[in-house]
Amino acid sequence: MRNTRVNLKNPLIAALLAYLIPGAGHWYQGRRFKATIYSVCILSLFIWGMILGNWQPVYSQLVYQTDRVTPQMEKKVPTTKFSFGYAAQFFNGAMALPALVQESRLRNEQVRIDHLDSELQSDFVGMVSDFSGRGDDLQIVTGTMTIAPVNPSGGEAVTGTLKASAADGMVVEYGLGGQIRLGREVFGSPRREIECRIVSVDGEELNIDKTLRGTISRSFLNWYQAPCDSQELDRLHGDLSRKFDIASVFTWIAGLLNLLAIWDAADGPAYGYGNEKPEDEEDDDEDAPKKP
Amino acid sequence: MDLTILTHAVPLTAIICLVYSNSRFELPERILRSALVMFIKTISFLGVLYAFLLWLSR
Repeated sequence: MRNTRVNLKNPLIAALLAYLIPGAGHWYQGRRFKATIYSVCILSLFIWGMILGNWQPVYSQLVYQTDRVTPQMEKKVPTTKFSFGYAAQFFNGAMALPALVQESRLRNEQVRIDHLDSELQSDFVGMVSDFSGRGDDLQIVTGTMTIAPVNPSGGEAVTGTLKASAADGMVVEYGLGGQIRLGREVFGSPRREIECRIVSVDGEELNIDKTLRGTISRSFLNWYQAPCDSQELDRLHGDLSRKFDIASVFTWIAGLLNLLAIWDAADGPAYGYGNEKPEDEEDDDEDAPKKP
Repeated sequence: MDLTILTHAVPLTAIICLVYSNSRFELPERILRSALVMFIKTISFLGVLYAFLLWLSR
């Protein structure tokens, strides 16, 4: 039953505000102490979880690999499944809503895997594959990539360079060319897959077929809270171990705690004001039935 | 057992107790008192549970 000693103003507006920003509904009602506790506790728990999980524990959909290519390289609308954790994270309000925006962007993106619009410059991590017929020779390389479409208005043919250092420490400049394959723009991974040909090494043209496969940076706005795949979750578990699970649980708990805040904003405190007369006052086991 | 992982439980418990008590009462003193009692009970329970598991794993 609603407590008449608490002025809830417009409970619907208060509940909506409490949903959007933890504590905002109580601030609107003039319950500043409670507003501070809700916002500090819930926001810090959510942000703590996000930091522990490299800002990746929140995503609304898990993308499945249905074809031989990875989900990032898939041209059609990806097959996804709802992430049950998001059912709890959703109640974090504005902090978890970007996941829905990113889900919509992922579904409606015009995927152009074989197309580069303009020049790209990014760090690169990947490998050089040598398919010369003498057996596959894989070499891991990291470095800085600059790549641009041959046609200034964009296209699949590209040209560029990769200044890379191999595992043995040797610095090599690869000349890039051929057709590009670039992972979708919006995806829940900070790394974007890329593939092209190597046409020269340190200025000398190659007469064998070499392919460069790896990843470049994806902009924060294109991966934050976007749907990811199990490969990305495996990578996160590999990097963070149990921390990623703890991070996910923290964001779930923050959402569930905000449910209590929303309820409180809409209906007042569950057990009463807190200074009721002794016959009404309950001890700390408030749920225990009263003696007659 | 990894102690650094376990240390997350203490502030997490404090947050849960504060928010739960905050949603039960209106008076700040009552909220804080209720949260403190709940925190002590929960941490004691977790401590006993941890000690029991530690004893079992010897």
